Amino acid sequence: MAHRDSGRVFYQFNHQRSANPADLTRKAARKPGLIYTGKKNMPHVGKSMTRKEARARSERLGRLKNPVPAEKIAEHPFPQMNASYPIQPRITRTGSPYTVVCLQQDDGRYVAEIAGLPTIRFVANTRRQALRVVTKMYLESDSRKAHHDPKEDRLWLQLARANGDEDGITVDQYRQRRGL
Amino acid sequence: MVSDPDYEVIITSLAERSLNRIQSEAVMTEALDLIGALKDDPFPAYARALAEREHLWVFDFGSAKYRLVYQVSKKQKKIIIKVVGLRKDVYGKAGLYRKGQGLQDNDQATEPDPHSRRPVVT
Repeated sequence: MAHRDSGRVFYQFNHQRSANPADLTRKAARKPGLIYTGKKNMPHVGKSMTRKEARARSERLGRLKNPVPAEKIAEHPFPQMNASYPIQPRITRTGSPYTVVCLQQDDGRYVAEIAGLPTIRFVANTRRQALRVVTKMYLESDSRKAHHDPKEDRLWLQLARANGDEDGITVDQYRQRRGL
Repeated sequence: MVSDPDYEVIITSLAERSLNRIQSEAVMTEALDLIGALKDDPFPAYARALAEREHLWVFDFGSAKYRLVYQVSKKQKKIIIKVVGLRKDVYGKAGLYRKGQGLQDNDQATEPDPHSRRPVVT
C-alpha cells in the first residue's frame, strides 16, 4: 500500500495484493513486500520492493561514496572515514560523543573497546563483529544513564541532602533480611 | 573509568524503606546487582554526577522509571545510598508533578511571571 506524504520518504509494508492486473506482472507485487514512497520525481516511487531489495538499497545508500584509501589514511583530514582506521569517533542518539578503538591482535582476532571505559571490551573474529558488540554494550549502559533535567536534579538533590543518615546496612545484610 | 576497588556500600534506612516498596522482582534484582557493582566501580559508565562538591552521583534503573542517588567518600572508601525512588511518585509527593501540567518547579513558581496578566499581590 503506497502512502504518499509530500516531502517525506519512508517505507511501508505491503500486506495487500494490488487489484491492478498490470501490477500483478511485477515480481514484487506477487508477494507482500515494501513499497518505497517519496518524492514524485524519484523513479522508484510507487514500485514495490522486497525486503532483500530494501536492505540492499539501504546498504548502498549508507556506503561512503568516496571512501578514504588505505594508503592515504595518515594524510587524510578525516582518517576515521576508513573503516579499518582503529579510532572511530561516534555519537549516541542523545548527542553524547564516544570513541571506539578497534585493533587487531597477534592471533588475528580483533579487540574493540570504548575509549576511557576499559571495562567495556570485546574480542571477536572480525572487526565488524567486535565493533558492533562493543557499541551495543556501551549504548545499553548509556541508556541507563540518568536523564539530565535541571528541575529533576534540584529535587533529587534536596532529597539526598534531607537524608543526613550515614549509617545503615550492607547489600548482603539487606539480601538476608529480604530472603533474596 | 578506572577506580579503586573495595568500597563499602551502605544502604541507609530511608533507602531501605524505598527499596522495600519495589514490587517487581526483576527491578529489585537489577537494583541490588547495580548497588553491589558499585563496590568495585563507584563511578560506572551509566552514573552521572549530581553534585560534584557533595560527591553525589545518580543513575536510573528499571527502564529509567527508578532513580538512585548515592554519595561517594573516597577517603573513607564508603558509598552511601541516599535515595532510591520511583521517579513518578517522588515528583507527585513533592508536589512538583501535576497531571496535565507536567513537572513544576517550586523555586521558579515563587517568582512572578512577567507574561502573566494576573496582578501581583504583595
